[in-house]
Amino acid sequence: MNKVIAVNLNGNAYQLEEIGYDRLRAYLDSAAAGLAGNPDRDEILADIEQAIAEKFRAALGPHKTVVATRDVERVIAEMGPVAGGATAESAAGAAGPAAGSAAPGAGFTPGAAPGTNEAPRRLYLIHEGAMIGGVCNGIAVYFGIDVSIVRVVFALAALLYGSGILAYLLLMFIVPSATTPEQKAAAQGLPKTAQEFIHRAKAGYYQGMKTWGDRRARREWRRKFKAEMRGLGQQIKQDVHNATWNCRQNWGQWPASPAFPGAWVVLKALEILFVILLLLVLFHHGFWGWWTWHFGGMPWWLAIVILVLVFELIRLPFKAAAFWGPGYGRWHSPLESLLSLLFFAFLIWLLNRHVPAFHQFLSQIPDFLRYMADSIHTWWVRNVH
Amino acid sequence: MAPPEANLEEKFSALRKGLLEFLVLKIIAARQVYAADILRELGGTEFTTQEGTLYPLLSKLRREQLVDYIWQESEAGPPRKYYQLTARGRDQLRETLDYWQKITATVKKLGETTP
Repeated sequence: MNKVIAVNLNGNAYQLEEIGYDRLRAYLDSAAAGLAGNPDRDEILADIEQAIAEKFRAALGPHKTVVATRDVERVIAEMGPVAGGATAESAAGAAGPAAGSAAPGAGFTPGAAPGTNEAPRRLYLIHEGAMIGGVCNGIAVYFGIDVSIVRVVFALAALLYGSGILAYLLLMFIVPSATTPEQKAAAQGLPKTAQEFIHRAKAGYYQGMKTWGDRRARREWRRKFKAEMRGLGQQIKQDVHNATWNCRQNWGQWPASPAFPGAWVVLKALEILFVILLLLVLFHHGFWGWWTWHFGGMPWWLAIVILVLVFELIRLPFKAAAFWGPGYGRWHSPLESLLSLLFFAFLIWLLNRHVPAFHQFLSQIPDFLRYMADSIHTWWVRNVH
Repeated sequence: MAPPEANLEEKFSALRKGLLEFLVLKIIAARQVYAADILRELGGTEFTTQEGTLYPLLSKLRREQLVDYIWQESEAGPPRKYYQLTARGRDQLRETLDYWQKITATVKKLGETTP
């Protein structure tokens, strides 16, 4: 299965295979570089995109909706290298394939990564799926790492005299929020087609305002705008189609996979119990008496390590039962669950420290558990023995 | 491809490069064409050209006001740019044709008159 990327070629929407997309991007980037300094650069690029779009249209059929990588490579070979910048102007008009190879540096190198031409990335607060203010989310997107890792770093920094909390609050006030689609695209730094659409529509709009008096330019602008809008419409339709398809692929058969349905509940219960035990070790340095009674001399950090190991050991069979089936490792790795647990623990610690009612509730848990154990014990002694 | 022909191709690449602009003007002078028509006419000749070369050239000709284009609806797909010569382009083509005839005459004449 290949990933498919939607592109906008001068107002025409096409779906490309990922490798083909990279090739095309590299070609267009090298074309743009070859036309550096040319006053008509944008227009030539639009013409070239249009020509590629027409070739793609010829390659597609009623049952073929995705442009294959080999089609992209063929079209790029047909198009040939683009040269015609300010310096290459006099050399423009190279005839034949032999002449094309005579101009070094101006040609298109197949498979060249367009790394230098990536859209600039910006740090934004991202509120979608955020826990507090979107700071961790934004940082995770900016560096392209998992958000849980950022959260843990902040949690650990918070333990250092609360510096993590201070940094978080500062960032929350300094960093702007990503609200418009453009900002969201900029936060990811990806050359999103949506971003290109918006950019072009705006550029076209300003151009249209500038040349409003000229009737021909106005007609030109209107035609371009219509083409863009047509492309955007196609794009949205395709995105919706892709999203539903992906959704069905990823989640369609998901609820059917647990071999043992109760395992899920047991797992969650275990996780919560684990967190409570962890907190008790951390802040009361023992489990309500019997820990210190049995293992008096043990350092508290060793207790945590043992606790984690025991927890993982107990959890293992349940986890296997709950997630038996393909694709488990993809979205629920042990590290990930541990990280989310740590974050959860950090939240409870914060509440414990700053909300008196919660602290009281937490400190009552040991008594409650002891009371429960006692009553079970007495019931056992009375009824079984 | 036979080696001697490839040799010639290499030797005359600069000449073909210079002539291409003239030939494109000549094709456009005959009738209104769009880019793919020009490529089709050039294809199969010694002047086979690709889009990557033609588009910058056409934009340069337009900037020099030798050609102009109009948008025309096409039966399939979006409208296309159809190119035509301007008055200045026609003058330029006439001058170039005259000059070319002089060159070919010279090529023919040279060597014949030597005793």
